[in-house]
Amino acid sequence: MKRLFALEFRRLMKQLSTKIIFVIILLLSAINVYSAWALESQIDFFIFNSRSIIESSFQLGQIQVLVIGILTSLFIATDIQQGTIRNKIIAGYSKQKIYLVQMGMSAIITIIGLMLFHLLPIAFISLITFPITSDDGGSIANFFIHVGFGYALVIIGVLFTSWISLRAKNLAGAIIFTLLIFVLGPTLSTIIKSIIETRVVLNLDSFTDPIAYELALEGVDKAFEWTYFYQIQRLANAGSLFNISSPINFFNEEGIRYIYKTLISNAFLLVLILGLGSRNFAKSDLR
Amino acid sequence: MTILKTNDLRKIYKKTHALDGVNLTIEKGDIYGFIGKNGAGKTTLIRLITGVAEPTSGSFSLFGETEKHQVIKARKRIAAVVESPALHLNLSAYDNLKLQCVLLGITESHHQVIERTLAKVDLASLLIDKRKKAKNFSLGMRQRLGIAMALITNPELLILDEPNNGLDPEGIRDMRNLLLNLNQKEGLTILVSSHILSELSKLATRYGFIDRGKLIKEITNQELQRTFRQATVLTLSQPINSPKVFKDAGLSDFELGDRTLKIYGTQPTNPFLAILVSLKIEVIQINKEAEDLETFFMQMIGGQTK
Repeated sequence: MKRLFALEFRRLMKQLSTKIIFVIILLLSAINVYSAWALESQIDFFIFNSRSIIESSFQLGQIQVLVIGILTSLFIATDIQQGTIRNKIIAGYSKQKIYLVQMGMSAIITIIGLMLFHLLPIAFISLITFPITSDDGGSIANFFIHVGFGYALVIIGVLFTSWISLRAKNLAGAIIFTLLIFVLGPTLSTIIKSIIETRVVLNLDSFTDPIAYELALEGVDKAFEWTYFYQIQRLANAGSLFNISSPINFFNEEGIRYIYKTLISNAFLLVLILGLGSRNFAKSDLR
Repeated sequence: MTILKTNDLRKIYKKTHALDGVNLTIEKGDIYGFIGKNGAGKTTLIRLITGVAEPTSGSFSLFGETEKHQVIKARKRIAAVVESPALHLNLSAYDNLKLQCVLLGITESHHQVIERTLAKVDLASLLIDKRKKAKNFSLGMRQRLGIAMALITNPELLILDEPNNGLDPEGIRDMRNLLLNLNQKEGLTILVSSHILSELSKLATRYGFIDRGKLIKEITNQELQRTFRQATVLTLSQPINSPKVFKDAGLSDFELGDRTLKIYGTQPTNPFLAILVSLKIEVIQINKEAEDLETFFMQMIGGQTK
């Protein structure tokens, strides 16, 4: 496996798409810092510090995820499209190992990508103002839970698109699916939830029976708490995907429910992607 | 020593039987010529052996290993170019070979290994232009680079699927010499599929003929040479409508063409000539012809020779 990882890292470094995506991350980070700085200068209330910049840098949530998702899909699908994955099989590596290394690489690319999105704004801001001040009054524990869940959910999403990219067998299919998942996924989830809510409360009058009405809506909400897109939207709706002063309090009843439901459902997804995915890939025919 | 032995190997794609119970054996030191029309199942068999695709049923042993995990390990002893060469198109030949060195865990200086391998396939010039990407190579160069990648270690079994695709006549000759050299000097066993039967006949020591997923015959080159029939071909001044005239004279083992008469074997031609004289048909030309691999193959699959 060590050799496969070494090969994949070299391949990643030499791939043109990696360089292009790095430039995109760099540009997005610079734009983000500039807009945060410009906005705060305009309102004549200068609180340009590490906290505000970290918060604003994470407000690009969906774009960040999309950029990283596309990079990993390209990375995996290129190997399939060019047939270079055959070299690994002929060299005596099992398909299961190859699959797990590809998934490992997807997770690593995601973490590196997100960290770049994190760290570059701080680097840029250091160029504008130094030393960076901090007025962080939020809970550090809350922040780390928020960031931890943010990273974990993005990794799960990217692993899922990577799985499909391995099955798609061509670049176009992999990219289209990645776009569908990360662009349309949350919207589709919202639409489905609205349809279910409408069906559930269709016969309930919110004026005559407000408690039953609220309970019905709460029931739908609780059921959706198990779903991936709802979980990721919950973090995103709290201001941004990664928010230093997250309005979600992870230490109340609702927050704890979020934690265990997210952990259980995503552990299930992870087992599905790694376990079922690798078994399925081992039995599949490659190009 | 048996290098590869397949046992009732089958591959079914939806309703198509791409391979239908193939039993094939490759012995150490063979240059095994794998012959079949397009879609006969040659590439499918190679894909199954190299692990790119999974068999529907049946099994095979590689270097005596039959258990799946052991077969995967045994693949470290083979090298292959399946269908088109598997290259990183946006990388140079040098970078492609370097990645292959990393994949194979080569501890020796990568530069030396690459230099030696490129020289082996007559691509040393690529070392000068390290920036030229594989996507800008000609088909022939890609083919040779693919083979260079396969030969970067010293495999015991080399599998090549249509290695002459895209090569010019000089390239085909070089490829033949390279394979013969590897086989004779380094004892490399080779499985090679090709459409160019004349080329394969200069190379192979054994043949396997496949048609519609079935292996219809395995034969050594020596056995094959013995089965080839000689023929005397007479070109006539006018056509003969019916072979009856020859059959009535008790003659057999001949074939009547438009203006040709093919007399098989070493039987005397005089009785045929006597009949032609009686019919006032002139013989314009006399040629000797020997059957070749192509004729044999076409007879095997029940097709028509040109």
